[in-house]
Amino acid sequence: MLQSTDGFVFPEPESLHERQREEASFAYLIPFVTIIGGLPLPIVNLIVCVLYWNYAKKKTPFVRFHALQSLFTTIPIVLINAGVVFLALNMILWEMDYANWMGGYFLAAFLFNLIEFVFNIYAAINARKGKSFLFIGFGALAYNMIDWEDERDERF
Amino acid sequence: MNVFKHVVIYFAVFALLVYIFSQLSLVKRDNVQEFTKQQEDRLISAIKESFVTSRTLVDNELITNAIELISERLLHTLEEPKFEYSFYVIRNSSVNAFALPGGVIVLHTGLLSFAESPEEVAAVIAHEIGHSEKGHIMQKLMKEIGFSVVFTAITGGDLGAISEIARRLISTRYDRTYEIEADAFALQMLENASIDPRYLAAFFHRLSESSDDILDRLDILSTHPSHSSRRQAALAYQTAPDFEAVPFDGFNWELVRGLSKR
Repeated sequence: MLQSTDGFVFPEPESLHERQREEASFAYLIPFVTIIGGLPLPIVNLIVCVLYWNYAKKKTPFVRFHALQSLFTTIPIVLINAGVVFLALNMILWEMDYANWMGGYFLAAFLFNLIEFVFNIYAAINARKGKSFLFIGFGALAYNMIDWEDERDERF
Repeated sequence: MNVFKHVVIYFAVFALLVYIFSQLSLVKRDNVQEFTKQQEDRLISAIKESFVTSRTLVDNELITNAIELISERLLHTLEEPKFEYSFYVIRNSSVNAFALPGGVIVLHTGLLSFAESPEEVAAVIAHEIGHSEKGHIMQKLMKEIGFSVVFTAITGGDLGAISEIARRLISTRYDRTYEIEADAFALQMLENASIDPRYLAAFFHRLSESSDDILDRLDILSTHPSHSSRRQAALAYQTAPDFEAVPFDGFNWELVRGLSKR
């Protein structure tokens, strides 16, 4: 879910270098890149996002903002997926009996992952175009945590 | 604060979705289909017939009278029993008891000789009545064997298939949730019948201390690690403050045990 960017100042897409856009876009593609590791162990997704944020900290505010926004939006879905893994392990290894709420949890988690997937694709495409957008809640938090004045002297 | 609010909303929406999807009963693992009353009756009588005729029933009056006295006291506590219960004692040295469809409860002589008191037998019978009253048996039948197979067996009247169904019904375990439910039922029933519910825990305890061989064959106590928690649950059961246990009379338990050992 997106919120309006009114009142937030972002760099003009034309002012951004190709490489900056790619790096910003990549922040949203990480969850897919790590999907193989992230399926059995969702924490892998989070670790890679943190590592990417660590890398992006040295980059321009535009890249930093997108890396942080991606990291923030990954945290809740990782928690939900950890619940899925926990339930599945219990059912497989310790023969926990199936209950209706577990089916409900799996379906809700699937739906949330699907929504996350769609928004990540949208985000990656738009970041690639040099556009900026805010995910509800987390976007504004990431925006406020970035020092937009701190333009690193990057050579491309 | 704005973020905190959104995180709360995020998980609240998730919880709401879990709730809504749960109500859909996504996986109907229990009996989706149901037998008509007539079909169920036919199944019950066929299983009873094929089972009872193929086993050595104990007809010693001392034993059957004792079981009748114990079971009557338990059944008196039921306002509206689902079935007309019948109890059979089979000559078999393994410590076992099980419920068949239609309120048929079968006890092995091994169980009677293992039990140190009639109250322990009452606890086991109450547990099996719990499975019957809660409808666990038909559900296990559907889960283990499947509707279509059972249906074919009834309509075809194939005795071989029916005795196989009875065999499977006895040899497979109930889900843990069913066991817990039957335990809870038994504890309540024992209290209502003025029998100390702690006998259920005592029975579990003595079983867990006996050989694995017995445990393996015993239906009431699965080998699952949860059995100690079931014992704990039985021990934790609180009786009413004015509860007073009334001992059994009308039979000599040591004599019944001795006769069961033969």
